Amino acid sequence: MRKAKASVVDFRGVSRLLLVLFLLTAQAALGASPQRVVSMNLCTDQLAMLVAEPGQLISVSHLAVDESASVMVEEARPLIINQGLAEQVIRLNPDLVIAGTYTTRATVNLLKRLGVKVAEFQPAYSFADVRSNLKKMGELLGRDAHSSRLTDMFDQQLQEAGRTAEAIIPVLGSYGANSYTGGGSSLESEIVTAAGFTHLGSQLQLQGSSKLPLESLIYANPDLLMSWQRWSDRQGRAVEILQHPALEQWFGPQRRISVDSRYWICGTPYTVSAIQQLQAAVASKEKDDD
Amino acid sequence: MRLTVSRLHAQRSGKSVLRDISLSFDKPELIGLIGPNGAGKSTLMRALSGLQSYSGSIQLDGTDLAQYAPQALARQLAFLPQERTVHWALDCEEVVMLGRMPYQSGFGRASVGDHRIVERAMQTMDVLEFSRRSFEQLSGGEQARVLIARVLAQEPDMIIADEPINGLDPAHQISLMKTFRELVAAGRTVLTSLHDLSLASHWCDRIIILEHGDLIADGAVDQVMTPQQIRKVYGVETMAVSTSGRTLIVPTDLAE
Amino acid sequence: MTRLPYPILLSGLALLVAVLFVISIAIGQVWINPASVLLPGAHGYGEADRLILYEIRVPRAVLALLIGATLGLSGAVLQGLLRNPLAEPGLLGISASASLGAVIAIYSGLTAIFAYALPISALAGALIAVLLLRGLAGRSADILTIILSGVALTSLAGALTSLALNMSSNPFAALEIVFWMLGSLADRSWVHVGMALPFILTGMLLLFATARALDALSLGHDAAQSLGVNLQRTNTLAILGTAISVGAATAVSGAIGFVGLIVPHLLRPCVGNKPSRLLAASALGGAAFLLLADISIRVLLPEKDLKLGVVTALIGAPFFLWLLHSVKKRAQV
Repeated sequence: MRKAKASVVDFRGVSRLLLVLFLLTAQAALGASPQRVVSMNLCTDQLAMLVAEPGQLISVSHLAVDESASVMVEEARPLIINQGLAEQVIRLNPDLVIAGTYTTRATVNLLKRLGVKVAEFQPAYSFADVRSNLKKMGELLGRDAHSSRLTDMFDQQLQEAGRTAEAIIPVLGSYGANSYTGGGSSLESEIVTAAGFTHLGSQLQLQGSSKLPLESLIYANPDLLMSWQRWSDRQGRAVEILQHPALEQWFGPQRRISVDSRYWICGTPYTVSAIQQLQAAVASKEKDDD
Repeated sequence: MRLTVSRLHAQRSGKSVLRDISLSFDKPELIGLIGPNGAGKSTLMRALSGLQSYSGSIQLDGTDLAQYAPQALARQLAFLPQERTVHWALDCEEVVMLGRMPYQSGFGRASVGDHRIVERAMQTMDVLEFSRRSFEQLSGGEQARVLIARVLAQEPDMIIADEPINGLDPAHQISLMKTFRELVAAGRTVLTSLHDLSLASHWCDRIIILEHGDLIADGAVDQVMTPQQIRKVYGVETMAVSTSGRTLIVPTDLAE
Repeated sequence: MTRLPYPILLSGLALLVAVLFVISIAIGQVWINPASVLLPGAHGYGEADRLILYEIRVPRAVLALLIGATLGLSGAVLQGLLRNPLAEPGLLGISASASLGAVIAIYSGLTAIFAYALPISALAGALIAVLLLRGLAGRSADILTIILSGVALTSLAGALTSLALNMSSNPFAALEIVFWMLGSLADRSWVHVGMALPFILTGMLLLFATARALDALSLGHDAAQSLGVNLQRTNTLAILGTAISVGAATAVSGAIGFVGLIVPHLLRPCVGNKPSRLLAASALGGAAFLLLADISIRVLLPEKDLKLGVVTALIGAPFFLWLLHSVKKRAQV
């Protein structure tokens, strides 16, 4: 009998801890560090909110307050919300703009031409990327000490989560809107592997997010099928596939789990929660089995 | 068969085109409907065929036209429109067979009788050889004759034809008028609008003259097609030629 | 020219549909021999094959058949009614309007309350389009007026569809727009068949009822009426039939263009140009055409999820241009 320990971290606790860290390092801020920082990308929003000292980050993107995408809605609410448009960002008179490499390219180029300092972040495809992004954010905001403390915490929690991994390794695949599944060398595969499962996309040697026809999914036959809680219950043709009778018949409720997509979108210290939640979700299915 | 028109008024796009027309058709005869362009000839014929809304009354054998089921009406009255296009390249036999529609029900399989009637109609119009030919490939005159064969196949008591000789060469014009005479001899009533005064005067039993929507005259050729009348309606001088016992009215010049 | 007798033509087309249907359910990520799955005691196939065949491939093939038949038939009826060889639900904006109706039903949440809201809303969209077309083009059979009205309707419906999807703050809006405009049958299920089937059959029944009137209409409006055809009734049958069947088809597949253009045109000479005979032939031909198109996207680019409307447009658009050219040339003679 497999047994997984459900050790879900209390998020309020984490937040409180982070707040203390914020205050501790607030005084360490150097004069040279930027004081009016605008972030334009959901992932950099969350990283910046974690790393910046109070008041340093003045604006985040509208997705940061989107309940279905952001883990840090509460933290983002007091800040100015931007739609990622150059005009709006310029008006905020920022001394640093943070953007993702794949988003709002035209806006980023325009801002650069207008002489605004723009820092671009690669999306995190792995835990190593999370660490390097944290480090980069710390350096940019003049908060190195704080960011390295966050990194240490992240590593520690990762290790703890890894300990609960199981002896027998079931295959777990994700299936989302428009029949997409996550490929290998992605944050998703790293999370799934860290939680103690074999990742279907890696096993199938898929690159990046890939379309997987329903037929192929059934032939690939992962032990567990994961879908995204906050998107699957929406109306729309894109998510109809998740209610396909063939899917229901083949996997049944026992082999389907649903996870909170917010923790999977961006590589941040919160990614640990994705691991813990996944383990808990699988454990609860196994309990039903007994 | 008796078709009675009384106090007929009709409008087209808000304009009055027929006023207070009263007419009666009750015996086999060839009737020429004449009058200058815009006199209302087409509208009158459309109204008689149940295609045009009107006020007043049109009765067929004592029953109002509007009371007839469309198919029942089509078995008694056939209309040959001026438009001579067939929109798809049907075989001529298929075109003529459409005349049997009022007698067929449902999906309309043609009976042996239908085929016989179609064949006879095509023979009458001298188009039997075109049976398997596509309508599109025929000359204008041949097409006209095929379309008239369609009307014949409808076996109506009365045929209403809107300018059927338009675009036909003289031989075919005369042969068509002869066909109409044969139909009359066989007991049918034929009403046809014509622009050719000589043909009208030579072949018709009765002439109806319309002008600006008013009925000007209705009667035998000799009584109606007087030089004065023609001058008044058309603004042309005419001369009368007698040939084989009939009078031929020939326009000669514009009236002074 | 010798022509195939009509019953033989229909049997031939039916056979073609049957063959393509079997190929369609055999083809996919892996080749499944339908016979060996369906026959008892067959070996080599597992539960997964059975499930994939019954729940994924058969409903897909059934939908391709039904929707193709609908599009072919409605194209033939519209061409007969408007006496215009270029009339077709896709080109006239009927499919695009049906898509708009479907999108509105989905994103207003109506479908969550009532499943049939999807086809009903789509057919309402289609109905509005047909009525607008009748209004815009009037009685004139003028090719240009009708086609331009269709172009305007298509763009308008397309724009409104995008608007509705953008307004819904749907993270997949872009992909959905592509689906509703180009159509696809990938991973549809029996649920969709059940939803569309009653409407498609009803609509097709209404469309078939116009057959004789369409024959008479080849002589023109007046002649048809004088032959005892009730044109009012014919119009109503054609409009409702098209709206109901194309609406329901589009609700599950998105807008698929050109089927109703190509199929009747290719088959017209085979039935001696007779509109009534063209109907059954076009329905069968449309089914065969769409099955073939749906097979080809799985054979040509199995990994790419090519949209069905891409294939039909790749074949259909050049065909349309050629047809437009030849129709214009004939009109000038």
